[in-house]
Amino acid sequence: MAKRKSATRSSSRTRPAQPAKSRDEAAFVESLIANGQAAKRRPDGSLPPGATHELIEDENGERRVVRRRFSAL
Amino acid sequence: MSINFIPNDPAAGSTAPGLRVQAKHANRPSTRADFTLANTQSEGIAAPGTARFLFWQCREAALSAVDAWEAVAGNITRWQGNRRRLALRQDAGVDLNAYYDRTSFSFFHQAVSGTTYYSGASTDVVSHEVGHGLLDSIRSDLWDAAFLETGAFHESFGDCMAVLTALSDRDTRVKLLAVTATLKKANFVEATAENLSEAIRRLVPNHNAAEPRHAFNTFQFQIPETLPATGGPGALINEVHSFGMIFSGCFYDLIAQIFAAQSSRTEATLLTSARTAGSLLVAGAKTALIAPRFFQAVGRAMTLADDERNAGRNRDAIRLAFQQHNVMLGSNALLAPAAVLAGGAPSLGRAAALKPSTRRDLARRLRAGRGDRLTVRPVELCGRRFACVFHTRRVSLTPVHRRLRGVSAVTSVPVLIGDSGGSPAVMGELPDATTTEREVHAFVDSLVQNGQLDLDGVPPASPSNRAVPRVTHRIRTVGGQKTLQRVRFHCGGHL
Repeated sequence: MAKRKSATRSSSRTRPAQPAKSRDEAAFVESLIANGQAAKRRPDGSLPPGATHELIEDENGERRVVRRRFSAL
Repeated sequence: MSINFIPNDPAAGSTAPGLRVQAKHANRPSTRADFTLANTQSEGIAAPGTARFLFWQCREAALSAVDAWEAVAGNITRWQGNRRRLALRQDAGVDLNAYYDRTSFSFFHQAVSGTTYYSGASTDVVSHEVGHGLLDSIRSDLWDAAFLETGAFHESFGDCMAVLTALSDRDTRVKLLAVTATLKKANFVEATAENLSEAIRRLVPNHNAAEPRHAFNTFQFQIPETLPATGGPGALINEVHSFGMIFSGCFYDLIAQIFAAQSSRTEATLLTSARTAGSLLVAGAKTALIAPRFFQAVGRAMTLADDERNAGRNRDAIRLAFQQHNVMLGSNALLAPAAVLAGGAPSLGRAAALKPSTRRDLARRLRAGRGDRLTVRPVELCGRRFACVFHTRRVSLTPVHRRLRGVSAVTSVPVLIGDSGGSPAVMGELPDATTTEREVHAFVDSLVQNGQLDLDGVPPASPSNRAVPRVTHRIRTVGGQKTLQRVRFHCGGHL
């Protein structure tokens, strides 16, 4: 089950998969993070329950999200 | 041999068809897309909660969803990525959820307060996940589209497939019509995944998903980011599953509208109505262009599909169904929110005003430069108040003609600003600066070509510049800048 967290704003460095995203795209990423649907992989390589997007951080600290699956809830 | 099957959801309630004995679905033809089954069980009647029941229940639900799809979309021969088979994992471990990840449909179990809940035991949940896979087979580009509305549409499509799968079952249609002859009442078909929601309610009572999602709803579209990120059970929030209820509402209302127009309302015409709506949904999903306002894009694509397939018979039903959820498809889209702006709610009284942060955001989007002006006036359209912002700017005419070097034209483009969920929003469309420039250039070029522009007191030679004066525009110096100005209209034809 998705453990939806309280409303939080994402880091200003959090960005979707491509640069120069619109406000709508940035808002989508914020929604994913706020609802626990974007998360880093666990040590065993799996996504936490409820996560549909993987949160990836590159060597420059830039974060992006990549869809890995859809969920029922 | 027969199996036990629950055609809706284990917790759909006493009005829904419950556990029944039926023949199993035949295996799919080898030429069509199929499932790879896991933890195969021998055929036979088995009690809910057993591995045998779960295997046959999950298989039957998945095949029923594919049948419902094929009845409205034609045969599916391959899943996304040209895969012929995807794994169907009826119990992949502990979780209160289900997933589609392009290689499998995975369902889970979890014990809550002494009861074990199986997501794969719900035909609603299985249809929803298979719906993701079916949509992905025709619109793989939606997978990573980075707009909340495209994600919400994917979720809604899963819920719509659950409704279509349910309505493809005769027993379900008969029992539904006994609950509501018009479909305009809460019921077990429009509610999705009741059993899973029950588990969540027992575990986290205030979770948004503690209430089943409902396709029969009165939720009104507003730009998603203007909604709260979290909310209590069943509340509309800025989250893909929840926000998808807006579109599911449009789809469910469309079925109800089409059904209401039938000469007789029977379980047979209910099936026809659902399939008509379903085929339009698939057609719309197939062709709608990806955009932030994707619900509107799909609705418009469904309207075009209806024009082509049904001579527009359902045009009014589609428009009304979407309008009931504030998704405007026709000329009233002029007054629909298109993009939210920074800042607080605009003042829309007698003297319309925008917050400074809203003005700055709008100026940035309009690519307003130094010297551009934004003036705000109140307007009332269709009984609603808006702020009309006029973006006044200079467009250089240097690219049009060598004798227009250093000359510019002043344009004033209106933008309608309204309120969406307490935030300022562009209503209709945001003017595109490049389009405005091109339109101005094309217009001035036509003036030059037709001898209607007096350049330095001498109208340019042109094939149509005859003895009859045709000049309508001159260049004058305004505020130290050479500016194109109209001096008159003329009523002459094309001399």
